[in-house]
Amino acid sequence: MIDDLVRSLRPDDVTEESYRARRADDLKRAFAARPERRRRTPLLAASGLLAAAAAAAFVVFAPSATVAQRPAPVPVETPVLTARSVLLAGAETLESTPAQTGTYWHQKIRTFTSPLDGVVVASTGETWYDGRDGRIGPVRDVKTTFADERAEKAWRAKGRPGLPEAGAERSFKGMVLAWGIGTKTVRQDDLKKLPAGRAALQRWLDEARPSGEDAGSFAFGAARHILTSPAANTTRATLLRILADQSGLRLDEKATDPIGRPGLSITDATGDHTLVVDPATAKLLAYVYNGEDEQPVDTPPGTKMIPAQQGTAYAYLETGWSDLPG
Amino acid sequence: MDDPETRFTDLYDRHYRAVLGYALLRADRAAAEDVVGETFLIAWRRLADLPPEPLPWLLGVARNLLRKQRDSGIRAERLLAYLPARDAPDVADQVTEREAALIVLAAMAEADAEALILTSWYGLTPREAAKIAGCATGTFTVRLHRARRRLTEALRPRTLQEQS
Repeated sequence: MIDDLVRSLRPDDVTEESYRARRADDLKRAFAARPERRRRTPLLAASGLLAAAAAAAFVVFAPSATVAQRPAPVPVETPVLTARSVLLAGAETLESTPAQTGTYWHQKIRTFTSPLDGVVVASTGETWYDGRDGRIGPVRDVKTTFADERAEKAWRAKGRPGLPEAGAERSFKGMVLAWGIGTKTVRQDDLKKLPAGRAALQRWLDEARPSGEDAGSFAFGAARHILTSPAANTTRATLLRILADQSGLRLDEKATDPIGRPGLSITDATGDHTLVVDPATAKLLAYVYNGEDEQPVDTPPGTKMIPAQQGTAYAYLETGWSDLPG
Repeated sequence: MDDPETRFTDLYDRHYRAVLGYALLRADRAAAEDVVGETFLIAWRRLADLPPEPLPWLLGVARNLLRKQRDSGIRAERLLAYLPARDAPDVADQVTEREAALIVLAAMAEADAEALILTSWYGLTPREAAKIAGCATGTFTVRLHRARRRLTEALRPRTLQEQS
């Protein structure tokens, strides 16, 4: 058994010897300082909201754009500058990218969720939306992977949770596509009108941020919506500059997104949010949420919230203006 | 047990060895011990914030600190030096197999080796370990499968040769 073999490589002799030698000094050193008081704020859940114009069915693409606690004040030195320079370079790329126009904002997203430990459900969804109408493609390519047989057995025993609802292609009649970004419910027109000025965009984010949440982490969560929306390139560039000014960012230059595309990944200081970016175009390839599972909260009538869960990831296969498919 | 010093001492006693084991993957012993000392110092400062199962949190802090080391790769020679002694050291095949496994682990993509080690050494779920590795659970699961397969394949021919 491979796992037993690997377990036999654990350096138990050295760790035991070190534990005995270091214990007294390590404890003494720690107790010389006072522990900090708890400073977490309560977890504020927020929302991937889809508001329905009439009480009807909903489509929800977005889990929370928020959540933020800072679990560990881990200093990261060199990567801070590198992550910053990557984000600033991305901002410049976006600023020099000509604006595109079109009728329908098209998004094709492969979503990965983890309904149980060791289980990942992937599926691809697609929408074309002009702010009022459009088309919702059927859910495709549903694939479930398991860490081992035990995980698969547990998943089957629990009634195969997490599988997306199958559905035929349909229109947006009776529905309005909207995203929850903190306290704001945002529609396509709102995203198009987001300000490009630094101060104005920061003010917008501050207004949306539920009280007590970490500003940096909140901006990261919001970024996944804004960077894949019809917001102006200048607005997206400004957002990258806001992200670049955060401390504690972590860069992985050899990252791949959940479908294996190479890119640069940038993780915020809390470790909750990771953005995988294509450095050539500054486009967002994927977003990965690794924060604590959100708890469902009450939402207004006619809306539905899907709480964010650790391990949820979105790979953006296509994002941009297009016509309706023939 | 609610006394912070007692809680912290218990935390240290239960997890020091595990965190050091992980640090030894990526640093020489003196540096690894310093990183683990620093990790527990951070844990002491943030004692009120620690999750109920603190080991993944501790390993995550240690990992971030280790990233700042100049030479933080997983090295076969380093691991060989720490290979624990066995009750029956005369079983040469077993020793050889463990050494071979170490060399294969050190040669594979670091993220893959780390996936296998995190789950085997500490019994972490893919979800817990993925957070330490800074990736999605799906990505982690793929790495874990790849590492297991690679190690199994690398060891198989040698075993067959020995039997022949």
